[in-house]
Amino acid sequence: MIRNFCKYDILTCNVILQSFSGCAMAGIDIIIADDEPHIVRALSFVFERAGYAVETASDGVEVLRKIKETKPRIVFLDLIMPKMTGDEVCRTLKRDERFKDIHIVILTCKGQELDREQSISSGANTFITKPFSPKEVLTMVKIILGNSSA
Amino acid sequence: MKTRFRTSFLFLAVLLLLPACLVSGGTESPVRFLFFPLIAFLSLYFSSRALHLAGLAFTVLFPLMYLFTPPAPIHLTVVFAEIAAFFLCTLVAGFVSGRIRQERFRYDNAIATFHSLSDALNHKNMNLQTALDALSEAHKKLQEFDKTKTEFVSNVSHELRTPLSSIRSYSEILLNYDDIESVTQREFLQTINSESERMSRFVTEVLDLIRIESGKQEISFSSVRSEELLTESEKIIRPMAMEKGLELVLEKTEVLPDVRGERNQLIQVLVNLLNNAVKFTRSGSIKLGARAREGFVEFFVSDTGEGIFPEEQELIFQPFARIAEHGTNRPKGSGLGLSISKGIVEFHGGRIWVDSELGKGSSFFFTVPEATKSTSGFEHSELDMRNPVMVSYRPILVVTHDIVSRRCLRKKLEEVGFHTLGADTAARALDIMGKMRPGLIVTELPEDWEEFEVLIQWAREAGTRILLTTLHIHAGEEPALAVHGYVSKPFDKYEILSLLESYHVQGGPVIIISPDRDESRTLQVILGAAGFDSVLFHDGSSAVAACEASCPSAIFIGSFRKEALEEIFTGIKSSHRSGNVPIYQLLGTTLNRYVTPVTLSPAGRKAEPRSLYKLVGKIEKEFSKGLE
Repeated sequence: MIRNFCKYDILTCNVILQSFSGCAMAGIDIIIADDEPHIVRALSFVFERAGYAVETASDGVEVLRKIKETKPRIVFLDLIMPKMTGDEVCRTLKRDERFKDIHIVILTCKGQELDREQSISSGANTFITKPFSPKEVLTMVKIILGNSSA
Repeated sequence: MKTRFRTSFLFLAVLLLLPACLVSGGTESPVRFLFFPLIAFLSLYFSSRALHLAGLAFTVLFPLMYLFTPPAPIHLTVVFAEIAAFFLCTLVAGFVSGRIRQERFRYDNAIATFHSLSDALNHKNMNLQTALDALSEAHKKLQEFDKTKTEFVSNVSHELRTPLSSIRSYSEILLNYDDIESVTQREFLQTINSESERMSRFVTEVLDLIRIESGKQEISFSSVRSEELLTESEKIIRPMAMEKGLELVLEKTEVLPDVRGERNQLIQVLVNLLNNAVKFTRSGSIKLGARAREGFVEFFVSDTGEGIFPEEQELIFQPFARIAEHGTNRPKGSGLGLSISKGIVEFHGGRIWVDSELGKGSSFFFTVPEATKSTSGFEHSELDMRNPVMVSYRPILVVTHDIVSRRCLRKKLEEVGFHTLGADTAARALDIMGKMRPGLIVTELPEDWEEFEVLIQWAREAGTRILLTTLHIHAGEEPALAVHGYVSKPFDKYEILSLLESYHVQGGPVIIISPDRDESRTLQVILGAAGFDSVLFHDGSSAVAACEASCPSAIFIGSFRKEALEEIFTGIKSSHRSGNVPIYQLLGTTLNRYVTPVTLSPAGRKAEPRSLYKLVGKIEKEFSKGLE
């Protein structure tokens, strides 16, 4: 099922989400958090095409709130976001019993070793360096979701 | 005094031996033979002639005692034996004490050598320490530079990868999915288009910034109408402001003077500021305007946006210092706009700053120097100042600390037909320049580098040249040029070496006199690397003494107070050993092309009498250059 998100407005997204999905609300698969709307849009397009339920967020605080509400299975976090960095969000989640099983993917721009080391220590599961191929990311998501459901 | 006391004491002791001998066993006692070597030895050991004579007297007198002691007949052989024994002992003792003295001399020598060596070692150690300090300082600076560079590169790569990842994602999506609705297809293509535009804009900005910061722009300044800058930039921004529903007000208050600069760059600054204002203002108005301010035109752009945190107000002019922490959904930019603007404004000789109150809005200001009449002369024929008669009325401003040399120079200049003004400090000179514009400034080194920098800045803006010189009056003669060259900061090894070479300075110790330890250490390291031994002094009097004692091959003088500097010059010039040694003065600042140093020439190294005429000649030449 394809949902038509209004591009940047998260509130409208929620309204649409609720009005369209109804019963499927509980089963959000993926949350994508990035302050670049284009990247969020591209990823969510690909995931939705593959039939996953997707939520989006544009900063660290918002994504935490949404994770608590919807309990997704995968979270994409941009490393540099307003309010809270991807690292901090990741640490918060991994400390919490309820959320520590969520698969966390860090989107990093630099791909530098230092950032990567920091994120590994924060407990992130996977790293993707921008620019990435949406197709490969989708394949990765399929593998992760396939594994965890099996 | 002490030796004499000791000698007489020993002498008494020897004489006392006489009765002691008698008491111990009479004249027959063989104990007396022990005394001869003892006396001989002592006399030689202390190298006392009196003692030696006493010993001899004792030896000769001793047999006489027999004459006065009746029962003991004396044998002549005994007497001879005693005398022989004494001389033998003296001989042996002489040899032994000679050896002892020799050893002691060697020992003293060794000690002296040790001390001098350890002094030299200490000196070397200190030099090494200074070298180490200077090197670690340089290392730290390089590290900082390296860090900024790395950060810059990493920021640039971040800014490039973000749009690149959008472009890549959307193009891949468009290639992989055949059944996308045409509206979505169009949306994705638009994103690709806008993101590629963003990339190319960013690349242009980075190149701009690098070019501006390197200061290697080849831009010719001309006179630009301030109103034109305002209206042009308003035209560019108005559609953006209207789209966002913001009011854009162009405030026109007064007739503005023209500014000196490059038109497109100045418009770029205004557009950057306006662009930010539109981006960060949700509702309200944006004001744009300018006013004349003491030789500058001050432009401003104020908005009714969110405002900027006080601690961020300094940071925002640095590359990539985007304020992302506080605001929500802040619009994105490259983060370079303000640093580019700052670079441009500073290149023009102005400054840029911000006033902001949280929640009420921000006002950005920047200044650009007014176009001076000489630079605008080619464009406005009615203001043509190239008429030499008019220009020659522009006075020469003489700034020297010492009133005698100032008067002397002014008199000489007025004899040649110039108008002159005088000032004793850079601050006073700035006062005068506020009232009237001199055609040329002749100045000595100031006590305050900041004031001097303001002076240079002013001269640069006004297009006036500065002649830098150091005058000194020696022994009541007329003032003369005192130094052979200036070394500006940061120290450049090649500059310093060529300076030394031009005055044929080879080998021999170089004396550095500076109150600033870091400065002198750095210089010492540079000179040391070039093979010049140098000695540091931090105050004038000891340095002057050293100049007299040694024969230095060159002298570097740092920034001292005027009186101290005069004393040093007097000291150096009055010594026949250091009187003709090249003297270089260290500057606390960097010179630009508006400042021309006037120094003693290498040819006149021996002595340059009447060097004031040389200065006057130089002034005439520079002044006529200003007319061209």
